[in-house]
Amino acid sequence: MKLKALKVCEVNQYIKRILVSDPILYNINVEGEISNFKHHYNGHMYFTLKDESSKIRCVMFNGDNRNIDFSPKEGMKVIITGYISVYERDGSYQLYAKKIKQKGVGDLYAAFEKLKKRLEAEGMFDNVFKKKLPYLPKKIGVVTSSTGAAIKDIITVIQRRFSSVNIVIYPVHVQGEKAPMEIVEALRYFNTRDDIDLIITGRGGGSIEELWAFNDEEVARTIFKLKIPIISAVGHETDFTIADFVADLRAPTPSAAGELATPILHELKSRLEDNLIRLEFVMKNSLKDKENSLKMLRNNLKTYSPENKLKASKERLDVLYKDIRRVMKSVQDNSNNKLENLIGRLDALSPLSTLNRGYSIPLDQESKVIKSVKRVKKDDIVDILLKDGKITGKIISINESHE
Amino acid sequence: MKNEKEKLSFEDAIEKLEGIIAKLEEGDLSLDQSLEEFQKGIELYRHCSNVLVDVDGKIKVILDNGADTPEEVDFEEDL
Repeated sequence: MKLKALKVCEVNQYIKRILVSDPILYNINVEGEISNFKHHYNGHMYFTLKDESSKIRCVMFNGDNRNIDFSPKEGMKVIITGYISVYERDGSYQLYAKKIKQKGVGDLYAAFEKLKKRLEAEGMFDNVFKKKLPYLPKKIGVVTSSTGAAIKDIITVIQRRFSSVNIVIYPVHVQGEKAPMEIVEALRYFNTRDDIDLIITGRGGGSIEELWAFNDEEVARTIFKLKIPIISAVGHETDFTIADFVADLRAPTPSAAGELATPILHELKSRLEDNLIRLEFVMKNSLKDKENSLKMLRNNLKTYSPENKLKASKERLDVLYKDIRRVMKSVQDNSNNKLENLIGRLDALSPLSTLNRGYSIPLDQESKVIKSVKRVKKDDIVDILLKDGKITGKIISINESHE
Repeated sequence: MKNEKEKLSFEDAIEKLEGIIAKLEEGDLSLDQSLEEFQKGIELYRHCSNVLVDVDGKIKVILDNGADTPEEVDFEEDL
């Protein structure tokens, strides 16, 4: 019997029917590594799942991939739940993924939660142990990969804000087996130095496995024991690691760590300069105030000064002096009048006027007036004063008159 | 005293400076006191100013070459 030739589409339809009715292929879990991942603009995801020796094409439709809580990436190990069917157009079978989850992630989350609970119970996350960050660090130690975006972000932000701070980078692997030990070593090394006043450790974003070094218990304990304050900056805002909890401060991103670590230099400078201006202003004002009160005091002092009193006294003295002068003058004038009067009277009584009237005055040799005949004897020499001169004579006779 | 002042952090120093200004602004001080406070304020300003320029913004990277004391070299972006 000659078989009737089938059309290609009929063959594919037939295979498809067999495959989809298979009780195993209808609902299976497949584990493997993602490669050739494409997220098509129509929302569907196309990729290949592979292991060491084999691969299978996969598709995950828009409606199914909408609720994935991570972004599938090249090389990611995943477990896919779905069914096998045929893409009739290409005649190829593929795995139609209904669910996808990261392999081992569940274990990692469990380990993370367990360690977190244990360390929290030990008090390692307590606020009392959090050290205060220096306001103005001089030297910042950075523990991260020297090639990643994290270090560039940290340096860029710090230099923009506070360009004069020194940065020392201790390059470490931030993922992989060696990473935790290297991070621990780097942290311990910085802790032995006394010139580092702040440490930043962290890395850029990644999957939970990639961030895993920062969930290492030894790393956590080393961070806890540091004498230097430390900022942890691991991944993105939504990523939390044990290091974040135990560090003195968690920065949501490496850039944010740079911001938290340093103040903005020009703001500090202007704050400082403002203060200088205020200080000088206030001092100047204070001096001016003091000067003004001094001036006032000086004026007061002038008003009540002895000089002023002296002046007043002098004026009073002047008045008194004038008074006394006036009084004196009138007294003197009075006296003068009296004197003239007296002199007139005296004049009238003067012997000279007697002489004028023709009398003469005998004087003895001692120029005393001879008022009585009893004063002279015969032959005594006597002077006789006349109106116009003196004559000298000798007593020839004495005749005493008797009344 | 000098050593103490050198250890004084920028933050503490600038806060002290602001305290002094507030005290001067109240105006209750004697001339001697205000001159003394002013002098202190100027010293704090200088201290803060020095702190800001004290560091030189170098970026170094530790080279762990297995020696006891790791070496520190200048950081280059393409390292």
